[in-house]
Amino acid sequence: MKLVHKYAAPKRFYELAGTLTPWFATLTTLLFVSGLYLGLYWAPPDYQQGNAYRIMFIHVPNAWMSMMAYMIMALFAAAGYIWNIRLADILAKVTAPLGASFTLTALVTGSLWGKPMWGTYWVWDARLTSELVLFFLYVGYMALQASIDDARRAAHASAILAIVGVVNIPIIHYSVYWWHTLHQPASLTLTSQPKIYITMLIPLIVMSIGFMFFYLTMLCVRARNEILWRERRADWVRKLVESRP
Amino acid sequence: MTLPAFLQMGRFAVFIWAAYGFAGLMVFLNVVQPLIQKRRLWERLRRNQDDDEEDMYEETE
Repeated sequence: MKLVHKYAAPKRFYELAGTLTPWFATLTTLLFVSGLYLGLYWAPPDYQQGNAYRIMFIHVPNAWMSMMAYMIMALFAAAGYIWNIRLADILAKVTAPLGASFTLTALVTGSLWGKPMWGTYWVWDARLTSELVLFFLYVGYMALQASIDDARRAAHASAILAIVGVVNIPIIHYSVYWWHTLHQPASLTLTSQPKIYITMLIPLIVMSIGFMFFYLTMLCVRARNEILWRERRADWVRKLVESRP
Repeated sequence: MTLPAFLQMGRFAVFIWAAYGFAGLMVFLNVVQPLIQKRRLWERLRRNQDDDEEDMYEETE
C-alpha cells in the first residue's frame, strides 16, 4: 500500500511512465513484427478455412483486450470513486479511447471474417450484439467525460456508468454458451486443452501479448498528457516546462 | 512462397487484407493521436502557464 501511494502521486507516475514507455514500445514492436511473421507466413493454411482463419490473429487479441480494458477501466474508475485517487481517475479516463478502438477493431475484423465463413457481415446474435453494446458503453463513457468540465465531477459521474456497465462483460463472455449463437465458443480456456493446433496457437499468443503491451504503451503516453494538463498549475510542471524551452 | 502468392492469400485475400489493414490503421491512429496531443499540450504550456481554459483541446488566442 505504501508503494501504491508513492506511485499514485501524479508526478511520480509521470516519471515512471516516462521511463517505461520506450521499453513497452520496443516490446510491442518486437511482438507485433514476430506475431505478423508467424501469423501470416509461418502458420500453414487451415484445412477448412484456408487462409481466412488468419484474421483470428488480430480479431481475438482485440476482442480479449476490449473486455480486459473495460475491466481495467471500471476498476480504476471504482478506485478513483471510492478512495479519491486522482491517478486512478486519470488511468480510467485514458483507457476508454483505447478500449473503444480495440472493440471497434474486434467488430470490424470479425465482420470481415464472418462474410467469407458465415456468408454475412453481421447477425444480431448474442455475442455480436453484446460486443456492440460494449462499444456503446465506451462511447457513452467518453461522451460523459467530455460533457462535464470539472475533472472530479466528470470522474464521479462516468465512474458510475463504467461500474454499471461491467454487467455486460460476463454476458459477452458467456453469450456463446447461454444462447445459440453463430459465433463459436472459446478455443482457449485456462482449464482445458487448447482446441486449436499449436501452429495457430503460437502466433495468437504472440499477437495477444503484443496488443497487451500496446495498451500499456499507449496508456503511459496518454496518462502523461493528461497528468501534465491537470497539474499544469503545480510547481513541478512549471519547472519542467521551464527546463525544456 | 513468392510475394504475389503471399499477397493473394487464396480466395479470401480481400477480407484478410482488409481486416489487417483496418487493425493497422487503428494502431496507427492510436499512436499518432496522443503524440499530436502531446505536442499541442507542450506548446500551450510553454506559451501560457496561467491558462484557465478547462479543455485541453481548445486553442487559446
